[in-house]
Amino acid sequence: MKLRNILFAGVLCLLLCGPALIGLASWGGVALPSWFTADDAAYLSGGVVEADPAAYASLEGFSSGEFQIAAEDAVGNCIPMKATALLANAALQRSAIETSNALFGWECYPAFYGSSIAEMPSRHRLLEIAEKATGDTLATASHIRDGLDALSLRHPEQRFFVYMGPDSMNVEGSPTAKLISNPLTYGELSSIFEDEGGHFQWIDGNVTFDEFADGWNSTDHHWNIQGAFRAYERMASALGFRDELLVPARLVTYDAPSFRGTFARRGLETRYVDQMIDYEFADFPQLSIIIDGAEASMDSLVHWKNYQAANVGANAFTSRYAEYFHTDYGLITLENEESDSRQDLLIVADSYSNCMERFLAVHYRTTYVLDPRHDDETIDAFLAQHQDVSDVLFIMRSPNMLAQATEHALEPEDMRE
Amino acid sequence: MVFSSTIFLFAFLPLFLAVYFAMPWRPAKNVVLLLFSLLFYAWGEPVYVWLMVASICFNWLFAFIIGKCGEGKTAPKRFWLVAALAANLLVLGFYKYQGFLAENINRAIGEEFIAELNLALPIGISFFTLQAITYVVDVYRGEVKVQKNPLYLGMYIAMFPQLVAGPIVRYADIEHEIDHRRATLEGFAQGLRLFCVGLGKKVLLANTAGVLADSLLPREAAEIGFIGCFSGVAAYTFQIYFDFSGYSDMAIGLGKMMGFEYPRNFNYPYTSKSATEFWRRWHMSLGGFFRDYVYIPLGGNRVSTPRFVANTMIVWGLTGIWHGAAWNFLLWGLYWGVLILLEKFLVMKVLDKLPRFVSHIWCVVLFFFGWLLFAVTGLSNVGEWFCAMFGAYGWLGTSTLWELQSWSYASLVPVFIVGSLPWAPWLRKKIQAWAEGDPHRAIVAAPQKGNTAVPPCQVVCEGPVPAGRARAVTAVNVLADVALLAVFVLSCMSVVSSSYNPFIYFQF
Repeated sequence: MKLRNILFAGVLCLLLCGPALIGLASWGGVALPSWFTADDAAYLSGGVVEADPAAYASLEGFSSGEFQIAAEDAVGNCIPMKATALLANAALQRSAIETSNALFGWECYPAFYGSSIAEMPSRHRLLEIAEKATGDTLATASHIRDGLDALSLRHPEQRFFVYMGPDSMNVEGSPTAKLISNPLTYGELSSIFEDEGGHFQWIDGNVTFDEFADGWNSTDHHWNIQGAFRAYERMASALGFRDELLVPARLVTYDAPSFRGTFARRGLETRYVDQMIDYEFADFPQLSIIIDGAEASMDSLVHWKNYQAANVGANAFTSRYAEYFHTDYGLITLENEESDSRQDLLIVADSYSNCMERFLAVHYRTTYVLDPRHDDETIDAFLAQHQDVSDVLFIMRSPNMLAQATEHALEPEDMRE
Repeated sequence: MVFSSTIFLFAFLPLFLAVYFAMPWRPAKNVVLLLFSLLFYAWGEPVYVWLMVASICFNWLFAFIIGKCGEGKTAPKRFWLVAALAANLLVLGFYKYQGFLAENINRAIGEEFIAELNLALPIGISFFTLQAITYVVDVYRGEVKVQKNPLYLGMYIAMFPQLVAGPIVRYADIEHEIDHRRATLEGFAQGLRLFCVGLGKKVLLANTAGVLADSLLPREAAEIGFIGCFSGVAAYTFQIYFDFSGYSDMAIGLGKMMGFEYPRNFNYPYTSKSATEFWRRWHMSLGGFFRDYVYIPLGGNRVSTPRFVANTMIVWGLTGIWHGAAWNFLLWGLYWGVLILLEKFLVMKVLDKLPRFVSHIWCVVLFFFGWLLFAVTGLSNVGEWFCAMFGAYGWLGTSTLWELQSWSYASLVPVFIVGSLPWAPWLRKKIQAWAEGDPHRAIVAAPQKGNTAVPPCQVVCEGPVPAGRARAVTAVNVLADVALLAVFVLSCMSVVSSSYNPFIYFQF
């Protein structure tokens, strides 16, 4: 009994001291594999929480609670095998849910208890659980529509186009929308924005669920290049370039690395996987690129050379969409010196544009890509400084279209002052 | 800070144990325990920790003065007792009930007669105030000696294991242990085992049930219908039991590690067959407090019948309102008071003649609707939820079955049910009887109500055991330890996930 007590207490105390030992090792410069520390978990979380308790080690820091938050974050950053713990815990809950679902046979079920991500095993994909069409949401949509309309009226010399990308929550035939009451559908949002008396042109982005499954990633909220290109075709046609559309030469598929996107991270699910795909074009123009004021190159928009050289992030949950195309920037400027056009385009977009803004840039002399989430300039102010812009195109999925950042971007500049 | 958090498990607890056991003398250990307890409290309440320090100081002073008043219940002694009680209850009343009283008085008068201060409730104030009261009253009664060392009294009042959610440990329970406790390897290991059991209950069971409960309870009954309301209350029924009993197990386990023997707080209450029995198994330390410090001083049941009824309703009204400053908590307390009286005068005579499973169903219905009163905020919502239970809004209200998510817990229902049954003591007794070769030995099918002894987390044979059977018992105990380590690891994984970690009683 004594030996058993010593062993039990010893093992438990060792487990309790795990993070402290990891912290000491890290402080002592001992290199530990990323899976053994909390490093891998940073990818699951989508970032590292910087923790510096020493910065708040004062009476004031303690009284305000800042020290406690920093200390808790510091401990969290030292949890051994944190990613494994997160994934295993979710897997355990999922197995209980799957067992329960054996009695009901639902097509979709949550990735873990309380998750906003659902699994759809029949299609090997993850989905966001549909939102409800609440009064507040519909009111926000109307408010954004009014903002777009007002913006268009303030700038009668420009043409305004709005494309809202469907997503797994609202696409026609969304499996989770069928399972909840009063879901917010793409059709419902479309009917709010597609106001015949309005002063901007609504470009309908709705697709069937089969088209969605083909054109969107299974584990990520972004579309793949096929879905993005079909959307480009709709947008370019609406902009008047129906007869000048790009034609891809071939589809490139990268077998490695495997792509586990935002849904896989949020759902803590590793079963499903995507592959990066891209289009090659026979004669794509060379664009001059400026990103947030710094000169860049075409390679900054599409990192295909890295992928061909297998120079990619090692972590399974690396954001491949951002890694292959590019991450979100405040303002990108694309100059197409080969274009005969004298027109400029302003794209106001979220990350949906990251893989396809170059397609639209082919049709303009200068294309600006403004992300309201990372640049708080109003569109009024931007247009005042860029008077050659003839067309303004919004490309966003619904959560960003209805977000405060977009609302702020649509505000009149004089209201800001 | 909560026990089921990474900062407690991986920073505070290892550091505390290292410092505590590094101290060679018990007085130093007591001071370390006090300092760490104050740190534990200050972590979540950096301002209100001074309120606790003030409570320690004035309770120490009042008890010291009462002690100086000499033997017998003299007038000065009584005066200082009343002063101490008033001070404690004023502090508790001010922070906990000011808003509730102000809101209701203002509503009754029709104007803002009393300013609503919207004070934050100091964590654990309901618990440490009652503990302080037990000390002062026991000093007055002469049942305990005055603690001359304010640091030791502070250690008792602030002791982090039971500070924020009980059990309510009376000073008399640990008076001897303050100066004479011994931490042994056996006690330390047993404490760790109990801590693992409690952590598993809290994190793996309570938190999981809590996800469903918290998604349904805030909703309108008309929106979720019978299935939503029923499963919401059912989830809450399991959540509150595993949460509270799990926390108590962790607190008792932590105390055991240091050599303190706290009384148990839960004794499989969901196996009860009456309301009376339920309250001898649920939150036993609270029931004991109200019995010994309110009910018996009021006369208990040694009074006329009308007075007995009044005493009972006063105690249960206070029990209800102690849980929270809201009308539904008062209603909940009175609900149990009425049921206990009904049982005493009418129902038990019938129940005693019926099969046990009928009595058990009676009790299940009672505590199920009791939790409805407790969990649903707002009396009008309680009424709607009650109607929903009888089909007023159909099976699903305006929702779909899928979105209610109750179906996803179907596989866990057997786990929750088994988890609230006394299978562990039953199995322990069976193995013990087999090992000792005495199958005719009386085996208690369910722990006796009122039993305050905390059972060990292993099979302990009291009599002689043949060598072969002793090895089998050892193997069972080793397997039990492996299982507990697995529970600990799974619990840590869940804590790290931090997906959902509320303590229901945390703000008391």
